[in-house]
Amino acid sequence: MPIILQAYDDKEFKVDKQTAERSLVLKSMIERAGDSIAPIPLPKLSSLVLEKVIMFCKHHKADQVDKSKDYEDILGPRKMRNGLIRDMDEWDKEFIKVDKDLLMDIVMAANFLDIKNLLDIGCLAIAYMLTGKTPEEIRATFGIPKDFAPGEEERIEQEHAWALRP
Amino acid sequence: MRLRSRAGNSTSPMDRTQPLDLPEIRMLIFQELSRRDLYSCLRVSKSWYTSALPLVWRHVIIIDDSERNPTFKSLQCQRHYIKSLDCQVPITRKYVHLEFPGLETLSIRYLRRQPGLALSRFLALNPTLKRLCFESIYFDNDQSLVWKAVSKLPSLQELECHGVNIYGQHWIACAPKLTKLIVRDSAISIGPFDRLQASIPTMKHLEMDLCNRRGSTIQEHLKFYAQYPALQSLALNLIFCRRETGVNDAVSNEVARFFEADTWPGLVDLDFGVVTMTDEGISKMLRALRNPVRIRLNTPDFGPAAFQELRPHFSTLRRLDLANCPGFTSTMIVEVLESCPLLQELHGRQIWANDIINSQRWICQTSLEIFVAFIRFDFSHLTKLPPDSAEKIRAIFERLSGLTRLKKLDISDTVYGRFWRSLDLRVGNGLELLASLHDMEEIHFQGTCQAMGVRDLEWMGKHWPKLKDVKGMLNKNKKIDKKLTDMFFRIEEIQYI
Repeated sequence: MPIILQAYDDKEFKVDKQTAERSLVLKSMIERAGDSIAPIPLPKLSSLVLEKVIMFCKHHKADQVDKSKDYEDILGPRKMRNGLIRDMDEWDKEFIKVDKDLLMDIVMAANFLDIKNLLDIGCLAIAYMLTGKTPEEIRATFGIPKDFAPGEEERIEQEHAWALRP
Repeated sequence: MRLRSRAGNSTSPMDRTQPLDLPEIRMLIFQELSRRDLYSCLRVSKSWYTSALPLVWRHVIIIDDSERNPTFKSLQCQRHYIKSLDCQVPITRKYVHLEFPGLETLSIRYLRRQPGLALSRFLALNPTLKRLCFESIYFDNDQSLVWKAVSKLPSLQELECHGVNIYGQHWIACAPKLTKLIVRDSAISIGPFDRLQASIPTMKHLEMDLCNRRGSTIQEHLKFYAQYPALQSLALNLIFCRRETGVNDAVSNEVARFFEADTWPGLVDLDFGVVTMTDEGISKMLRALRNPVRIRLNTPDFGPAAFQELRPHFSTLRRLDLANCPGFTSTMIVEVLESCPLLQELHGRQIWANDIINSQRWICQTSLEIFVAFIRFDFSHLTKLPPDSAEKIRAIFERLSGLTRLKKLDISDTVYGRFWRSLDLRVGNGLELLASLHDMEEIHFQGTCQAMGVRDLEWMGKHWPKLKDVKGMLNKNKKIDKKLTDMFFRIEEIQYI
């Protein structure tokens, strides 16, 4: 039986149970409701975001437990660079290539719906946007106001200059 | 995939809470960043400072240059964030009074004089320690104090000693939770086979490369290792057993017997080290293995019989290092590429171009690093190229382009100290086919004859965004090479040697 998900703008999406259950929030709702499940309203998600989220869950619906990590404890973690510790597979990389606002909404949706894999790759994508930027550039990109007391930024800078060491 | 612009999308239901406003999501994101980037995040705003601070201080290195170290005062202030401390200055009385409530890892390296008493006090103050690493250090007084303190650490899981002259009564007198013990390039003046507490049931990784234990027999070694039934990783170092046993087959029989008896049911990572025995002897040991994920062998005796016994392991192998086995031939390397779906790392010697061209589909799906010493062409030594050479080179590029997750390609050939014709890394000759290798991080081509130009370097910079390490002569003309090298230096982050 398909599950119906309603976006903020009342647009409805039919998904199969396995796809919906990638979200732990939806999974517990489905389990509680049993066979007679009503359409699930998701007033926090626009249809654009919901569509992307469903696309992700559909692609990953048959995923088993993360296999890539096995034996890492024995062989040691693979070397990565840039501090970006994990690798994304090709499909995920293409999937998450979206504009900044949509990326932010996807991450919020993944957090709200509890879809761990999606939250992980969304966070990786945001981390990637942060790499190599100065504080000023980060503030400009994400619209963050600078709220330090006078002299505080300089103090932080001095105290942590060692962090720049290779 | 459709990509619509959200500009003017007034129906957006989000109350514009950004993920970066939520501390728990900020933490997830910051975990992925290098310390250099975290340093920028610290200075964005007050709330970002609060989130980034624990991560910046998680791992601290104190080097022998006080100018570039955190100040002692800030170390004191932030010490509860420190999980890992890497000291390249002696732990002296100054540090003894610093308690790090969350400290899990301590490394002490490159010291001519480490006071034993101060270190033992420091260890006693930090019972949370799980991992200890000593590398190239000399203790200035009785080591017994240090080992006594080490043995008393209640949570100790890993101990590594590299280049340490170990003596003293209490060396690992007690380590009920130890999972990893590595002693490499070290000398032990107390008998480790007697001293080390027998049968630590948790031990998973054991490596004892003891310079002064060359006399022990294979039986002694195996019996010692057999005390640790949970071993997953084992480095055998059979070279030490060679002289006394005399009969090499006896060694391989003995090792195989231990494998077959299921002494270590979880053993998947095997480093045979330097081995001198017959091909049959090696094959006997390989046959007795069960589902290995990593095998490393360093032997002139690897041959067809051993390779035959490797075949059943192709489905599980992730890392295979036979770089120092001349008997691991070009056709064998190609067969591994054709047959190991999970392969991540392959070390071999040389591949002949023809074997690559004639090979079946390569099936490795995971991110692969190939350290096959060099791709050799049958025209490598000719000054005048045969007419089909360009075609062959192109065919190789085509094969390589299928390894879309290739991270490192090393075709260096430094054995004979001259420049060989090898893969011609130029756009137009086939390099452009490698545009699919987005994960390319390192390319080495030392000892090969190259004629790259500005265009080729620009191409690499553009198509391989992760490229960070290039080794080799870019152009056989030294002047052009110099110019190109300078250009590489300007491309940020690429390390050119």
